[in-house]
Amino acid sequence: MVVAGYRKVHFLVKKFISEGHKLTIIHRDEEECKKLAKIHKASIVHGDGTDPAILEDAGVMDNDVLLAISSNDAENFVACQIAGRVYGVDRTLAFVNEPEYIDVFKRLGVSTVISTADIIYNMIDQKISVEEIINLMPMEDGKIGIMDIEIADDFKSAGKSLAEISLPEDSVIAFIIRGERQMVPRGSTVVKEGDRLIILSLSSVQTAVIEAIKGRVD
Amino acid sequence: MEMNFMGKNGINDEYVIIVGCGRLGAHLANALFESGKSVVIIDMKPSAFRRLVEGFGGFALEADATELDTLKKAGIENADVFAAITDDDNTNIMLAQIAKTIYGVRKVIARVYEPNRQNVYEELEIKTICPMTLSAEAFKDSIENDEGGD
Repeated sequence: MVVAGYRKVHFLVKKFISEGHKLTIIHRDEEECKKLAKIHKASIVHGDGTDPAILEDAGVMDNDVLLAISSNDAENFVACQIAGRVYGVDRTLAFVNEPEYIDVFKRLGVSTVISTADIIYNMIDQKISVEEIINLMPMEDGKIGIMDIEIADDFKSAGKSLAEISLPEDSVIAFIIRGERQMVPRGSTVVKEGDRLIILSLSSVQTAVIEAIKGRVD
Repeated sequence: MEMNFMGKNGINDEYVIIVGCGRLGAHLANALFESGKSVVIIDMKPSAFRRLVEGFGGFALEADATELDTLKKAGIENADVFAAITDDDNTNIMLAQIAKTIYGVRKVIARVYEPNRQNVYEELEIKTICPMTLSAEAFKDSIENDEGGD
């Protein structure tokens, strides 16, 4: 996987590496490259991710995925186009600031286009309290979301079995993480304080999911 | 608003959109208008339009061409020619692709600064012009043909 971007990428990088991905990072800022090289087990390439020579240096043709996450839409677009159409990378992903580019970039061959503005807007619009949500990952242009919620003792779901929690339709508790254990819960599994629930749902019912788990929505 | 008007000589043969009113963009706009084409030139900075000749009868649109609304306002759906001449290669390549693939403009050309990226852009099926390469070739020709001496 190649990550081309000029913003602070530490969080994403850490996450991907911990999940076992082999990573190459292209970054334009030399100081940032040095920092990244010290901290992460990843290959770091200093340069411009829209430059074919740099993409080649990063071995882009041997990678399955290119993530273009700079703050410049045109830059992300060109990096994806060159990776996909010239070097045959299967999946390209671009961040965009301009939501109307979601459709345009897709029609021009970028596999996944994510508008950060749209995601933030949806979160605020849905009045989702970010307090207990450890992670929120949108899929399918944000139509589907994966939430990672930690159970506090005042949650109405704490101490209840899954069968007793009435989740909205189009949502499912896919995993419960309890300390070192990760388990697929059954109807009889009781949710405890400190558990982390991985919930897969339509984004449109996320607020209702949180309400069912937490009991109130801020 | 959609633009459709006659060129200077009344020959509405080709409808040209130019993005970027720098020296090259302005020069091209002036020349194409002189030859009778309908020209719309887009730039974000109003001061850029000073480069257009007095009597320029094309349309100068002060707007951000990376917004699709601007391209629509410029009448991209009816354009025969689209020239991306901003000072950023990536923006030019992106706009050229949008003009060609999304709006089906027949002739699309992008200016690029980086000569060593030109062949890669050609693989993206975008016609590019790199002024640096052209000047170098002109110099080389002059030198080889022993011009410039007495």
